[in-house]
Amino acid sequence: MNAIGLDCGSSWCKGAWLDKNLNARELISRPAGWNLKKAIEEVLETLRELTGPGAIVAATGYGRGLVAGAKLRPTEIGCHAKGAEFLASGTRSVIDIGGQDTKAIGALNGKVLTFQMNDRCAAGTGRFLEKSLERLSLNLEDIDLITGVSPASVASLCAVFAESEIMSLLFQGVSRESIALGVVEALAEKAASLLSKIKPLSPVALTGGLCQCRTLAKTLSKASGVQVINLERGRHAGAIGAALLALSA
Amino acid sequence: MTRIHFKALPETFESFGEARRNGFLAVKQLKDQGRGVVGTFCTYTPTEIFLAGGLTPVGLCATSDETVSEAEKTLPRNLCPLIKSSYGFVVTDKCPYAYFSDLIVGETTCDGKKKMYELLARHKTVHVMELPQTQNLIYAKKLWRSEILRLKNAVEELFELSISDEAISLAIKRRNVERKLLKDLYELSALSPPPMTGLQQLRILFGSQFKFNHTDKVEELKQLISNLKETAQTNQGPVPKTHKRIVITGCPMGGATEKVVEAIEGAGAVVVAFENCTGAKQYDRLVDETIEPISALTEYYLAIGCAVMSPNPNRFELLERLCHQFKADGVVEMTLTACQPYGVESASVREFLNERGIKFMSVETDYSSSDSELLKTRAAAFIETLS
Repeated sequence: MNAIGLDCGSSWCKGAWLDKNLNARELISRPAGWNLKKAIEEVLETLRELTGPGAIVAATGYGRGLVAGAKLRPTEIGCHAKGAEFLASGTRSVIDIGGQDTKAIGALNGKVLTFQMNDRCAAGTGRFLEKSLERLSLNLEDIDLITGVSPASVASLCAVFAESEIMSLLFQGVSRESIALGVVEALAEKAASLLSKIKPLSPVALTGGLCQCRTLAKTLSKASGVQVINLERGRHAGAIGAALLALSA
Repeated sequence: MTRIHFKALPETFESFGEARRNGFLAVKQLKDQGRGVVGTFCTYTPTEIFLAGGLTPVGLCATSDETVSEAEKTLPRNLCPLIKSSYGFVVTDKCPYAYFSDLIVGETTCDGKKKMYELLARHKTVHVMELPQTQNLIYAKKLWRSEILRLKNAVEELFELSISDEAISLAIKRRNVERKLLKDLYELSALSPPPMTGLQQLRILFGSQFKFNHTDKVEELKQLISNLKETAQTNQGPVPKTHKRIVITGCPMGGATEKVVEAIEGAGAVVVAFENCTGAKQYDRLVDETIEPISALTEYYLAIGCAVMSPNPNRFELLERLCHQFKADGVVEMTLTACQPYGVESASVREFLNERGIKFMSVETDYSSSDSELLKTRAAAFIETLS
């Protein structure tokens, strides 16, 4: 039996194909854009072509209700815990920094024991970093290439007001690399405060769209006092978790 | 008081929806019968004083974001939605109960409210009671007792009437009958499965404050209780036995914040009890009928476990008792954005429940619907951790 897990987030739609031996055969993603349904259909069709008919579908993420034919629709919190356990066996704590919210999850054997999530505002989420980098004309990958500058102090975590603070730093002649590191530091502070509320156990797995950012993992380790590790395929943790739940359903 | 009794309907009356037009007509009818109306904001208001004077108390504590933007023309944005909304409804004449209130009574519960009352006094006759912020110091009881007497004098003067101790005792008895019935009603949800959903329970509790005839209200509640008992006996309730059982605590619930209950109950759980002032906080205890009535009111109202009290042991005592009585699988706290007392006390609630092994989640929200998807995800994830 094959399973398809979809994680329909606010920025990206991620998909995972798991076969009956629990091998992650294919991991794909598409930008969510404005037409979530189209992105979801594209991911689903691409994976269905690979799995052939009969694969069970599970959908998670904010757009999970839009996935036609999903057999189950678990929350992304449960899925990230499950997916992180799959990607790094024995994971007890997960930090998932998503497009519109950040979640700190305490888990055992892939089951959620406790979690913390930001409230209604998107301060300190992936959107905040995305908007900031956009203003600086930098890509996420560029951050790990920055060397020899110290981070600027960025106080505003607000996705809306970040830009005005960045502008004021640019007017002061601060380098964009320094501002970028400052933004990562501000994000890490916010994530660390969520993490502290679940009493994290080292190492904490970093999942979500920023999972490969080494600078973030390092900064977050420093801010939280526990080791945070990059999870290579962590952006697909939610989709993998959904597929695992589909297989065991 | 003739000035007030002949007050006409607001100019915008026809533009309102049917429910609100009915509200306007209901209060207007009371006024046409010559009964004064007193608007109140908070569970701390000793409504027996008004009832004893033949007046009709009505809650003005607003629960919709309809008038928030109007309120923000005067009040700061970063203020709790309950205060903004309540203020907005009064100044826009959109609330029938506020519109026809001859007097509005508030208390110095939190900073935002007490400063808002100063502004409200430009539009309406407002009496503010000085509420002590602690319960056990001797001064607290003395102050609260003198404030209840000051309220009584103010009401007597404004409405040109005299309120006897006997009338207060009778009002206490009647309110106690209502409290007891409402408690009997919500305690039916201690059954497994409960004979009503949390949303149904909340609407009954919330709606009961807008029923003004004591005899009718008592009859209606008795009928409801009997219906619910029958539902329970025949096992034909709306809640499957497997649903996880949730107790809600925190800021006042009702209206726009029904979204929190809907998020929980949409995720395969049921809200069995409300610790909030819409629920058990108000109906759990009775006013002592065996002692002098003003002392009895002093004791009862001062003991309400709201986060404005420091320390606030009564909230924790009640919350723990409800968790056991209603066999709660978890507790969800709702705090309103920028509500400092509940926002800060949340950390103590978390610790208190953690120590007792009771699962807990706190959500902060306001009266808009912008976070309903987020609430659904959080509620569903919380329910997942309970199984």
